[in-house]
Amino acid sequence: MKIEKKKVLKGSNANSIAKNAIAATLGLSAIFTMNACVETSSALRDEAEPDINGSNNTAVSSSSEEQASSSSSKIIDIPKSYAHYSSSVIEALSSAKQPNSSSSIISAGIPHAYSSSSTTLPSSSSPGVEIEIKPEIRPVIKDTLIPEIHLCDDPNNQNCRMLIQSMVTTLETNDIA
Amino acid sequence: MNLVLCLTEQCNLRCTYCYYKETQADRKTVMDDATLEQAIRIALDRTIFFKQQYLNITFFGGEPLLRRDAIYKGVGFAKALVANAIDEGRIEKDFNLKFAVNTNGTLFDDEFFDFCEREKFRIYLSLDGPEHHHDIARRTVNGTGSFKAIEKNIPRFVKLDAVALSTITRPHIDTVFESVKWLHEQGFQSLTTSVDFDGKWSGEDFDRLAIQYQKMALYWKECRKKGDKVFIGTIHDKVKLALINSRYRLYSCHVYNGAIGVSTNGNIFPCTRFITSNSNTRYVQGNVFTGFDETACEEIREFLDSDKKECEGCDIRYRCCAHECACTSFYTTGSIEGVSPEVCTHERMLTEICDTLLEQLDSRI
Repeated sequence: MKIEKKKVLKGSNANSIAKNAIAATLGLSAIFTMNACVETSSALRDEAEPDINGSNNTAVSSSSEEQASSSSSKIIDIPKSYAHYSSSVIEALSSAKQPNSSSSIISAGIPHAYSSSSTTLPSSSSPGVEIEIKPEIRPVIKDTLIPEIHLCDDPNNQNCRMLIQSMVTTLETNDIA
Repeated sequence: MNLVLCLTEQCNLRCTYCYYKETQADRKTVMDDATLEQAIRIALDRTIFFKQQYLNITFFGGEPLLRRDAIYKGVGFAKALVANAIDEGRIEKDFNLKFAVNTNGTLFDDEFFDFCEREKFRIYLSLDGPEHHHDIARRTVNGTGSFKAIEKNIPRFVKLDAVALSTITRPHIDTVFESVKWLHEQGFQSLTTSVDFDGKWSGEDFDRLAIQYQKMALYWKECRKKGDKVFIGTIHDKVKLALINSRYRLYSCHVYNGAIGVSTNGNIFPCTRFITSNSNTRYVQGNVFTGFDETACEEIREFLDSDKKECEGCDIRYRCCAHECACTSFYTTGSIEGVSPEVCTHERMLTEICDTLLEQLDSRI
């Protein structure tokens, strides 16, 4: 392959596959709720059992190369000038579909939960100095392996008291409980 | 809130891929007690302001075990501070205070293992794989391999559910899968790999790495299907994000209101890769003694809220580190808005492998 910047268009069929069934097979719980801690907590209890009777326990090494060449991706060069696509085009191309939640805090996968009014916070380090911060609510994402990824801090939601065990490392790749 | 404390820039190893080797001022600075305590105070205040119910404190370096004294002081100070805040009604009784350490594992002994066990530390262990793989890059100051210094401690690290972090450089490529499998066989249930993007990777290198990733993906899948919930972040992340229709930034990038990195001189940064005591750097968010620079913080918040124009229309951008990870963008391009061709190529390759895995699973269900 060539080292270059490319855009992937219609990269896979990942959007149409049976995600819940696959998640169950892998022992994952494909749960994504926005600002819905109660639902998330209850849903987690329905953790899917891994499919220990899976019939496709193929050998790792022998079949790996067979996957290498399959690609349904269509790739285009990233334009040198920043082309501005219309939001509808971007939406059509995006694989990051909107969650089913009716919450209005997500737009094109981007949280917009910032309070319209900012709040001042006294600086602990400098008496008399005030810093201005805009509080926000961020989503809860949970699964059975990476549980308690907790950025939901709705002060009015008494159910939102879950443990966070967040990984902050050189890699910044994950939260691992 | 996650607080990352760079206790020292000193390290007893000289790993070839260490990203601090060029960004740290002189590798000599250490965090003093006043800075340590003020960093914890300001992190707790920030946590309370955001109405979060947790504070995770990660001891970071350099090699933080060179500053055991500071780790002990930090834990004691944080526990007392939180207890006081509970007494004052500033936080609730079920507030979670947790500790973690990023370490090369060479300086652990029974006393420190006992301490970590008692304080329920999460240990992030830089362990690339078996000796022949690990010692490629992780060397002592004398140039010898560091594996032997860790080997005897592996069972204890496993017992404490340490997370193994394995870095991939070009000389590592052909033994990547073997090393991941070895780590799992040692008992590590949480592990991940990370590429050292140094600007020198070739397409041929990534072709070879793709073969390793394919083996890793199949191995992860088979383990999971058998009920072994091993976490191999390299594959798991991409698969999970596809399954949950989420984006990387929402659960991995903690910049702005989820993380504070503090350098030895008290400067505040958005995340780990930014931390340096060097004065000539970007994205300083303030200093623990003077407070946050809200203009600088706003720049980081805007990153969370926006797409990179270069990536508009790209189907995998929300699962792509080149687009989603501020740290990766910063260290590969010098800007959180930059896109590295190397990272872009890697992410396309890895995403395709993971999506192929998903499609194969789908066809069998």
